[in-house]
Amino acid sequence: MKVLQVQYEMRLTFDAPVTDHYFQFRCLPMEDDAQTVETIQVAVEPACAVHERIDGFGNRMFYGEILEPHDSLCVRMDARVRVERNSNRCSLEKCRMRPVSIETPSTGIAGNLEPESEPVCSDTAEIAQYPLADSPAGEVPWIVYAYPSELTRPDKEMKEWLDDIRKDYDSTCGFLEYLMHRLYQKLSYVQGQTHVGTTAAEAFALSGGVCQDYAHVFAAMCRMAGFPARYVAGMAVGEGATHAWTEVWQDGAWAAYDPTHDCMADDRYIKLSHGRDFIDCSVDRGSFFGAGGQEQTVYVKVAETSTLPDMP
Amino acid sequence: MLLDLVDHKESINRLLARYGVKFGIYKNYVFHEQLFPFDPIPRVITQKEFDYLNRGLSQRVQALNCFLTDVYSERKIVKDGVIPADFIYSSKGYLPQCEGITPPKKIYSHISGIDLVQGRDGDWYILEDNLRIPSGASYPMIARDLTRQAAPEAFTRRHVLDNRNYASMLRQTMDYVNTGGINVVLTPGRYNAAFFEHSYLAERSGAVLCMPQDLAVEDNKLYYRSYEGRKMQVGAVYRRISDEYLDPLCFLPESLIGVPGLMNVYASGNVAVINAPGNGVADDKGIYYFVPHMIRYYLGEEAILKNAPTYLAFYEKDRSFILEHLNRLVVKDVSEAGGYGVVFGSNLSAGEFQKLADAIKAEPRRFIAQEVIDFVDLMIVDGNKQVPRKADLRAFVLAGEETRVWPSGLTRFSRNPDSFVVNSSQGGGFKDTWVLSH
Repeated sequence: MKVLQVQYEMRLTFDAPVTDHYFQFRCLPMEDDAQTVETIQVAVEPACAVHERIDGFGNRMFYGEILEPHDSLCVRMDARVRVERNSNRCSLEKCRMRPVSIETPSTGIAGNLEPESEPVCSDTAEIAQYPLADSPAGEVPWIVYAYPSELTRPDKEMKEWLDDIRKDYDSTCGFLEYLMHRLYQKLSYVQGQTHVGTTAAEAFALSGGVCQDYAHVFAAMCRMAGFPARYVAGMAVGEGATHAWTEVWQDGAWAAYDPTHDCMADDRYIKLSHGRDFIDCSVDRGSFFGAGGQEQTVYVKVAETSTLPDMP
Repeated sequence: MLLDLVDHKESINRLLARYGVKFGIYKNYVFHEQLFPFDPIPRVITQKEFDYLNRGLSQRVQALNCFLTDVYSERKIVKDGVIPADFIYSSKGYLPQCEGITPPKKIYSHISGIDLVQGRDGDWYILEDNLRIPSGASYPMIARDLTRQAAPEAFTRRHVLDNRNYASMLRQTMDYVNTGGINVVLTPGRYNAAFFEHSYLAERSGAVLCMPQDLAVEDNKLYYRSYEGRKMQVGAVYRRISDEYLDPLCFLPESLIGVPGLMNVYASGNVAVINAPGNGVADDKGIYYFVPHMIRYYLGEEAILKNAPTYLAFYEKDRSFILEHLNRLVVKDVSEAGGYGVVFGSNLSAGEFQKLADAIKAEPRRFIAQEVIDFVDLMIVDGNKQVPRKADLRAFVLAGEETRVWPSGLTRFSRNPDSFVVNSSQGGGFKDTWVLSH
């Protein structure tokens, strides 16, 4: 368990005043089993009315608009978050490769319709035993993360690479861990060659990118291997910018993998939002009217505070 | 019978052209606009038959609305094993962004266009449900108007229910879910396939016709800014823009035609969006197969109207059946719409046949197959003769305080004598649909 002090600041400056500026932020630490927000403060400048809601993926977001001419927008978030993320690597027998393809069942015929009573996403072995009921209502069920998305649709090269990995796998460690490790060897961290709209297949063809690309490629690979996987946007100790990693649905719970660093995400990571890919859960999204250029700077700081003793 | 109307074919088509009743077609990357040919001989439905259709179609739409509410909240139908999760969550029409949003009055499909045909046995069969933004109601409306002008005597001798009440039904539907403010019809603009319809329906229902740039979000509410600068709150948006272009902050970020922030206002319950975003999950050709089960599941009733006999390649037994009888079935790609991706097994060459069979084996989830229904021909005027052509019926079902069917509908026919495909995007024509008052 750790208590982290988190700061996020996004500053957007314009050469010439802009109007009709709509913004939407998912920069608040998520509250879930792993994270408890102890204190939080958010400021938006210029001051304006801000509304909040939970999106379909279960992310907290706030939004508003500045219609009058203005030449900058600044959003600041300060929070203290208690993190208890279980980052244990899965035990060996639990993590053997279990391909869980979306199988085609054999029953059901028109005129004599007997719909399946089992969830279908599975080779029915492992995944099916965690029914959809486990997903909270009002938030997408885990099965949504079993399918490819806009930015994570795999191509032939990715499929072939994964087939080779499956052949090479020797069961001495968990399959996903092995997959992540091989991916880490295959990709190199390169800034500037990819952008926010780069797909997993494009990044894979380039053999590199930034954390967003690693998280997309790993999610795509996991899904192909039969494990539902989701993209996570967040922050981590020692990262000067927002970070991204991947959560994989395993044994009825989400396990957090950081493919950029070839490790499990532990309690030095602060999760902000998740989705099928970056598009679903971008930390900031907006639109405005204006002719000039814009510059965006993002400042992120995550620091460990001394772990506080439990209150009596 | 009805011969008095035949002579008016040319004059009414001329009037339709003058009023700009057109249909846009987007084919081979080029936008063409063409007239939607009108045939003067109406389809006639007796009151008794209409009562039956009204019961069957209202039942169907009620079940589909229950299904949509369920999918985006508790998903009981999946948990109870009635529909496999895969059919819902791998559907392109399922929008995770809509999870947890309750539309005003819990209505998702306010305006449903249900396509059906009458078989030679006299039974009606549902072909497909259109729950996103079904178009077509304006064509029989204006055709009726023009026919009345051209041949007023035709209506004094026959007891035909007036179909011009569509505008007031639409108005009531909008008013019922309106959260406070004006009603607007949101059109992407002049180059949309159904622009004529957008402007006509707005005018007739007393709603304001607007383009995306006329709408703006402010303080979590939606406003219309008029040309002269007046600002009015909007309580219901009958939008004729598809889901993915509705709001660039929620869906496609590169969309230029949406209203930024609209989905937030809608999710907060501060505006009704007609039809609700996310309806595509219920009119998916794969989900069609399960509609009779939904009716049983949600309403505890048996379906009044039949589906065309359908096989789902997803199920192994169905798949072998499809592959064995491919030469007599019609195969549909569930991801295509508007008559695209529809293949008749009997029309295929040996090579194409094998290719289709392989595609079905490789991606079974993508295909459904149906028995070809030998549906009745209707007579159309061709030169100075009358010839039989295949025709279907798009019935419009409006869900407001109650769910009911408009006593008319769009009858579409194929101009090609050998074709069963009647979609207007495939070059068909249309007829008025008369419901008799006795």
